[in-house]
Amino acid sequence: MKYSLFLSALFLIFLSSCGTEIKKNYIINDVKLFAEGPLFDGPNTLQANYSLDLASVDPALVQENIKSVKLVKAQISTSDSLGFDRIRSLVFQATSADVGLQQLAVINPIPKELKTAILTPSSIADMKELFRQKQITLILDADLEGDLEENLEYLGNFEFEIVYNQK
Amino acid sequence: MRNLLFLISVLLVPVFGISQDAESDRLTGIWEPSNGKARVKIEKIGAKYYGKIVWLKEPNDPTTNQPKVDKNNEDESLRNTPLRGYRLLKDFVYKGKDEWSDGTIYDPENGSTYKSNIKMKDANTLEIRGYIGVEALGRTDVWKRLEVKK
Repeated sequence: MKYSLFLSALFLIFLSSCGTEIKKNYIINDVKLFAEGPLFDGPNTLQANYSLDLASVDPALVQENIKSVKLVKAQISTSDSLGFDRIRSLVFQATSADVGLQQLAVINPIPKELKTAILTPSSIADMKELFRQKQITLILDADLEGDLEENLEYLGNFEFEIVYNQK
Repeated sequence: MRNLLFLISVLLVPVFGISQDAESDRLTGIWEPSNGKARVKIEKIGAKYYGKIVWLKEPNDPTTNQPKVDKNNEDESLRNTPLRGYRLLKDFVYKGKDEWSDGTIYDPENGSTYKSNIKMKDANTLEIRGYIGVEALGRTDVWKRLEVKK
Protein backbone atom coordinates (compact mmCIF):
# COMPACT_ATOMS: atom_id res chain seq x y z
CA MET A 1 0.00 0.00 0.00
CA LYS A 2 2.74 2.38 1.04
CA TYR A 3 4.65 1.45 -2.10
CA SER A 4 1.70 2.21 -4.42
CA LEU A 5 1.13 5.55 -2.66
CA PHE A 6 4.80 6.34 -3.17
CA LEU A 7 4.56 5.50 -6.89
CA SER A 8 1.40 7.61 -7.29
CA ALA A 9 3.13 10.55 -5.63
CA LEU A 10 6.14 10.14 -7.92
CA PHE A 11 3.84 10.05 -10.96
CA LEU A 12 2.06 13.24 -9.83
CA ILE A 13 5.40 15.00 -9.29
CA PHE A 14 6.49 13.90 -12.77
CA LEU A 15 3.26 15.19 -14.34
CA SER A 16 3.47 18.54 -12.57
CA SER A 17 7.10 18.98 -13.64
CA CYS A 18 6.17 18.43 -17.28
CA GLY A 19 3.59 21.19 -17.31
CA THR A 20 1.26 21.84 -20.20
CA GLU A 21 2.69 21.95 -23.70
CA ILE A 22 1.58 25.05 -25.61
CA LYS A 23 2.04 25.95 -29.27
CA LYS A 24 1.93 29.61 -30.33
CA ASN A 25 3.20 31.68 -33.24
CA TYR A 26 5.77 34.46 -32.94
CA ILE A 27 5.54 37.03 -35.72
CA ILE A 28 8.18 39.48 -36.91
CA ASN A 29 6.72 42.12 -39.20
CA ASP A 30 8.54 44.53 -41.51
CA VAL A 31 12.04 44.01 -40.20
CA LYS A 32 14.46 46.03 -42.36
CA LEU A 33 17.23 43.90 -43.91
CA PHE A 34 20.02 46.09 -45.21
CA ALA A 35 23.28 45.94 -47.20
CA GLU A 36 25.35 49.03 -47.84
CA GLY A 37 26.29 49.71 -51.48
CA PRO A 38 28.10 49.63 -53.76
CA LEU A 39 27.36 45.93 -54.22
CA PHE A 40 28.85 43.57 -56.77
CA ASP A 41 27.57 40.74 -58.94
CA GLY A 42 27.11 37.61 -56.84
CA PRO A 43 25.89 36.82 -53.33
CA ASN A 44 25.57 39.87 -51.05
CA THR A 45 24.63 39.86 -47.37
CA LEU A 46 21.74 41.88 -45.94
CA GLN A 47 21.48 41.97 -42.15
CA ALA A 48 19.20 43.04 -39.33
CA ASN A 49 19.69 42.82 -35.58
CA TYR A 50 16.50 41.84 -33.83
CA SER A 51 15.61 41.82 -30.13
CA LEU A 52 13.29 38.98 -29.21
CA ASP A 53 10.21 39.83 -27.16
CA LEU A 54 8.83 36.52 -25.94
CA ALA A 55 6.42 38.28 -23.59
CA SER A 56 4.45 39.41 -26.64
CA VAL A 57 3.57 35.74 -27.22
CA ASP A 58 2.84 34.90 -23.61
CA PRO A 59 3.84 36.99 -20.55
CA ALA A 60 4.51 33.71 -18.72
CA LEU A 61 6.85 32.36 -21.42
CA VAL A 62 10.44 32.08 -20.24
CA GLN A 63 13.37 31.08 -22.46
CA GLU A 64 14.17 27.93 -20.44
CA ASN A 65 10.71 26.49 -21.16
CA ILE A 66 11.03 26.61 -24.95
CA LYS A 67 10.95 23.09 -26.42
CA SER A 68 11.21 23.87 -30.12
CA VAL A 69 10.99 26.77 -32.57
CA LYS A 70 10.32 26.29 -36.25
CA LEU A 71 10.10 28.84 -39.07
CA VAL A 72 6.71 28.46 -40.76
CA LYS A 73 6.63 31.55 -42.99
CA ALA A 74 9.33 33.72 -44.56
CA GLN A 75 8.29 36.54 -46.84
CA ILE A 76 10.60 39.20 -48.30
CA SER A 77 9.25 42.29 -50.01
CA THR A 78 10.78 45.19 -51.91
CA SER A 79 9.58 48.65 -52.89
CA ASP A 80 12.09 48.77 -55.78
CA SER A 81 10.33 49.34 -59.13
CA LEU A 82 12.40 46.46 -60.57
CA GLY A 83 11.16 44.08 -57.88
CA PHE A 84 13.51 41.12 -57.61
CA ASP A 85 14.30 41.08 -61.34
CA ARG A 86 18.04 41.46 -60.64
CA ILE A 87 18.10 38.90 -57.83
CA ARG A 88 18.74 35.25 -58.71
CA SER A 89 18.02 33.76 -55.27
CA LEU A 90 17.43 34.58 -51.60
CA VAL A 91 18.71 32.51 -48.66
CA PHE A 92 17.52 33.34 -45.13
CA GLN A 93 19.67 32.50 -42.09
CA ALA A 94 19.96 33.52 -38.44
CA THR A 95 22.69 33.55 -35.81
CA SER A 96 23.60 35.15 -32.48
CA ALA A 97 26.74 35.81 -30.46
CA ASP A 98 26.45 32.44 -28.69
CA VAL A 99 24.60 30.25 -31.20
CA GLY A 100 25.84 29.04 -34.59
CA LEU A 101 24.40 30.19 -37.89
CA GLN A 102 21.39 28.22 -39.13
CA GLN A 103 19.98 28.17 -42.63
CA LEU A 104 16.23 28.60 -42.42
CA ALA A 105 14.69 29.21 -45.85
CA VAL A 106 15.41 29.60 -49.56
CA ILE A 107 13.91 30.71 -52.86
CA ASN A 108 15.83 29.78 -56.02
CA PRO A 109 15.22 30.96 -58.67
CA ILE A 110 12.98 33.97 -58.04
CA PRO A 111 10.18 34.31 -60.59
CA LYS A 112 10.35 37.62 -62.48
CA GLU A 113 8.11 40.61 -61.70
CA LEU A 114 7.61 39.64 -58.08
CA LYS A 115 7.35 42.35 -55.38
CA THR A 116 7.06 39.80 -52.60
CA ALA A 117 9.04 36.58 -52.50
CA ILE A 118 7.87 33.65 -50.40
CA LEU A 119 10.74 31.45 -49.30
CA THR A 120 10.52 27.71 -48.62
CA PRO A 121 11.23 27.12 -44.91
CA SER A 122 13.51 24.37 -43.64
CA SER A 123 11.60 21.29 -42.56
CA ILE A 124 14.05 20.33 -39.80
CA ALA A 125 15.83 23.47 -38.48
CA ASP A 126 15.03 24.00 -34.78
CA MET A 127 15.72 27.57 -33.59
CA LYS A 128 15.24 26.72 -29.90
CA GLU A 129 18.75 27.83 -28.92
CA LEU A 130 18.46 31.07 -30.92
CA PHE A 131 15.17 31.91 -29.20
CA ARG A 132 16.90 31.52 -25.84
CA GLN A 133 19.01 34.60 -26.73
CA LYS A 134 17.97 38.20 -26.17
CA GLN A 135 19.15 39.35 -29.58
CA ILE A 136 19.57 37.53 -32.88
CA THR A 137 21.00 38.56 -36.24
CA LEU A 138 18.83 37.89 -39.29
CA ILE A 139 20.84 37.34 -42.46
CA LEU A 140 19.59 37.36 -46.03
CA ASP A 141 21.94 36.42 -48.85
CA ALA A 142 20.77 37.95 -52.12
CA ASP A 143 22.49 36.74 -55.29
CA LEU A 144 22.74 39.91 -57.35
CA GLU A 145 22.86 39.94 -61.16
CA GLY A 146 25.32 42.71 -62.12
CA ASP A 147 26.69 45.49 -59.92
CA LEU A 148 24.62 47.96 -57.90
CA GLU A 149 25.75 51.44 -56.82
CA GLU A 150 23.00 51.90 -54.23
CA ASN A 151 22.19 50.20 -50.94
CA LEU A 152 19.93 47.17 -50.95
CA GLU A 153 17.01 47.16 -48.54
CA TYR A 154 14.20 44.63 -48.14
CA LEU A 155 11.44 44.15 -45.61
CA GLY A 156 11.09 40.74 -43.98
CA ASN A 157 7.99 39.16 -42.48
CA PHE A 158 8.61 35.96 -40.56
CA GLU A 159 6.42 33.62 -38.56
CA PHE A 160 7.80 31.07 -36.10
CA GLU A 161 5.96 28.30 -34.31
CA ILE A 162 7.08 28.08 -30.68
CA VAL A 163 6.34 25.00 -28.57
CA TYR A 164 6.87 25.55 -24.85
CA ASN A 165 5.91 24.22 -21.46
CA GLN A 166 3.73 26.30 -19.23
CA LYS A 167 4.37 25.47 -15.59
CA MET B 1 47.80 58.19 -8.65
CA ARG B 2 44.66 56.07 -8.85
CA ASN B 3 43.07 58.63 -11.15
CA LEU B 4 46.13 58.55 -13.39
CA LEU B 5 46.02 54.71 -13.64
CA PHE B 6 42.31 54.84 -14.40
CA LEU B 7 42.91 57.43 -17.13
CA ILE B 8 45.69 55.33 -18.69
CA SER B 9 43.52 52.19 -18.66
CA VAL B 10 40.58 54.07 -20.25
CA LEU B 11 42.87 55.41 -22.97
CA LEU B 12 44.54 52.07 -23.68
CA VAL B 13 41.44 49.84 -23.84
CA PRO B 14 40.23 51.20 -27.21
CA VAL B 15 43.77 50.97 -28.64
CA PHE B 16 44.07 47.28 -27.70
CA GLY B 17 40.48 46.67 -28.87
CA ILE B 18 41.24 48.09 -32.32
CA SER B 19 44.52 46.17 -32.69
CA GLN B 20 42.80 42.90 -31.65
CA ASP B 21 40.13 43.51 -34.35
CA ALA B 22 42.75 44.32 -36.98
CA GLU B 23 44.64 41.13 -36.07
CA SER B 24 41.56 38.90 -36.29
CA ASP B 25 40.22 40.61 -39.44
CA ARG B 26 43.28 39.47 -41.40
CA LEU B 27 41.21 36.36 -42.10
CA THR B 28 38.78 38.31 -44.27
CA GLY B 29 39.30 38.24 -48.02
CA ILE B 30 38.95 35.82 -50.92
CA TRP B 31 40.65 32.43 -50.62
CA GLU B 32 41.11 29.43 -52.89
CA PRO B 33 41.20 25.81 -51.60
CA SER B 34 44.00 23.53 -52.87
CA ASN B 35 41.75 21.78 -55.41
CA GLY B 36 41.07 25.12 -57.15
CA LYS B 37 37.40 24.20 -57.65
CA ALA B 38 36.02 27.22 -55.77
CA ARG B 39 36.82 30.62 -54.28
CA VAL B 40 35.56 31.49 -50.84
CA LYS B 41 35.00 34.97 -49.42
CA ILE B 42 35.57 35.10 -45.66
CA GLU B 43 33.71 37.93 -43.93
CA LYS B 44 32.82 38.96 -40.40
CA ILE B 45 29.29 38.97 -39.03
CA GLY B 46 29.10 40.21 -35.44
CA ALA B 47 32.23 38.84 -33.79
CA LYS B 48 32.42 35.63 -35.86
CA TYR B 49 33.81 34.74 -39.27
CA TYR B 50 31.99 33.05 -42.16
CA GLY B 51 33.07 31.93 -45.61
CA LYS B 52 30.80 31.75 -48.63
CA ILE B 53 31.47 30.43 -52.12
CA VAL B 54 31.73 33.33 -54.58
CA TRP B 55 33.12 31.50 -57.59
CA LEU B 56 32.96 27.93 -58.91
CA LYS B 57 35.25 26.48 -61.57
CA GLU B 58 32.29 24.45 -62.84
CA PRO B 59 29.23 26.53 -61.92
CA ASN B 60 26.74 24.26 -63.68
CA ASP B 61 25.69 20.72 -62.79
CA PRO B 62 26.68 18.57 -65.81
CA THR B 63 23.56 16.42 -65.49
CA THR B 64 21.02 19.29 -65.41
CA ASN B 65 23.12 22.04 -67.08
CA GLN B 66 21.68 24.38 -64.42
CA PRO B 67 23.65 26.27 -61.72
CA LYS B 68 24.80 23.85 -59.02
CA VAL B 69 22.63 23.55 -55.91
CA ASP B 70 23.14 21.96 -52.49
CA LYS B 71 21.67 18.62 -53.62
CA ASN B 72 23.22 16.70 -50.70
CA ASN B 73 21.67 18.85 -47.94
CA GLU B 74 20.15 16.58 -45.27
CA ASP B 75 17.16 18.93 -45.26
CA GLU B 76 15.23 18.12 -48.45
CA SER B 77 13.42 21.46 -48.42
CA LEU B 78 16.75 23.34 -48.70
CA ARG B 79 18.30 21.28 -51.50
CA ASN B 80 17.49 24.06 -53.92
CA THR B 81 19.98 26.40 -52.22
CA PRO B 82 22.51 27.63 -54.81
CA LEU B 83 26.11 26.57 -54.18
CA ARG B 84 27.33 29.95 -55.38
CA GLY B 85 26.81 32.00 -52.23
CA TYR B 86 26.72 28.98 -49.91
CA ARG B 87 28.27 29.58 -46.47
CA LEU B 88 30.49 26.55 -46.03
CA LEU B 89 32.62 28.08 -43.24
CA LYS B 90 30.59 29.05 -40.18
CA ASP B 91 31.04 30.56 -36.72
CA PHE B 92 34.83 30.88 -36.44
CA VAL B 93 36.09 32.84 -33.44
CA TYR B 94 39.56 34.37 -33.17
CA LYS B 95 41.52 32.78 -30.32
CA GLY B 96 44.78 34.69 -30.78
CA LYS B 97 48.14 33.48 -32.14
CA ASP B 98 46.85 33.37 -35.75
CA GLU B 99 44.15 30.77 -34.92
CA TRP B 100 40.39 30.85 -35.47
CA SER B 101 38.42 27.96 -33.99
CA ASP B 102 35.00 26.66 -32.81
CA GLY B 103 33.80 26.75 -36.43
CA THR B 104 32.44 24.23 -38.90
CA ILE B 105 33.18 23.42 -42.53
CA TYR B 106 30.63 21.93 -44.92
CA ASP B 107 31.53 19.64 -47.79
CA PRO B 108 28.83 20.07 -50.46
CA GLU B 109 30.12 17.01 -52.33
CA ASN B 110 28.84 14.67 -49.59
CA GLY B 111 26.58 16.91 -47.46
CA SER B 112 28.74 16.44 -44.34
CA THR B 113 29.62 19.11 -41.79
CA TYR B 114 32.87 18.87 -39.83
CA LYS B 115 34.25 20.75 -36.85
CA SER B 116 37.00 23.02 -38.03
CA ASN B 117 39.93 25.22 -37.03
CA ILE B 118 41.89 27.69 -39.12
CA LYS B 119 45.57 28.50 -38.74
CA MET B 120 47.11 31.40 -40.66
CA LYS B 121 50.61 30.32 -41.72
CA ASP B 122 51.37 33.68 -43.35
CA ALA B 123 49.31 36.61 -44.66
CA ASN B 124 48.40 34.64 -47.80
CA THR B 125 48.19 31.03 -46.58
CA LEU B 126 45.63 29.27 -44.40
CA GLU B 127 45.64 25.75 -43.03
CA ILE B 128 42.03 24.66 -42.61
CA ARG B 129 41.52 21.50 -40.57
CA GLY B 130 38.24 19.59 -40.65
CA TYR B 131 37.56 16.76 -38.21
CA ILE B 132 34.92 14.63 -36.55
CA GLY B 133 35.19 14.28 -32.77
CA VAL B 134 38.91 14.40 -32.04
CA GLU B 135 41.00 17.00 -33.86
CA ALA B 136 43.79 14.49 -34.41
CA LEU B 137 41.49 12.47 -36.67
CA GLY B 138 40.97 14.94 -39.47
CA ARG B 139 42.28 16.40 -42.69
CA THR B 140 44.05 19.67 -43.37
CA ASP B 141 43.76 21.66 -46.58
CA VAL B 142 45.89 24.64 -47.59
CA TRP B 143 44.06 27.68 -48.92
CA LYS B 144 45.75 30.56 -50.74
CA ARG B 145 44.65 34.19 -50.70
CA LEU B 146 43.53 35.38 -54.10
CA GLU B 147 44.75 38.95 -53.84
CA VAL B 148 48.23 38.42 -52.44
CA LYS B 149 49.18 40.76 -49.57
CA LYS B 150 52.79 41.88 -49.41
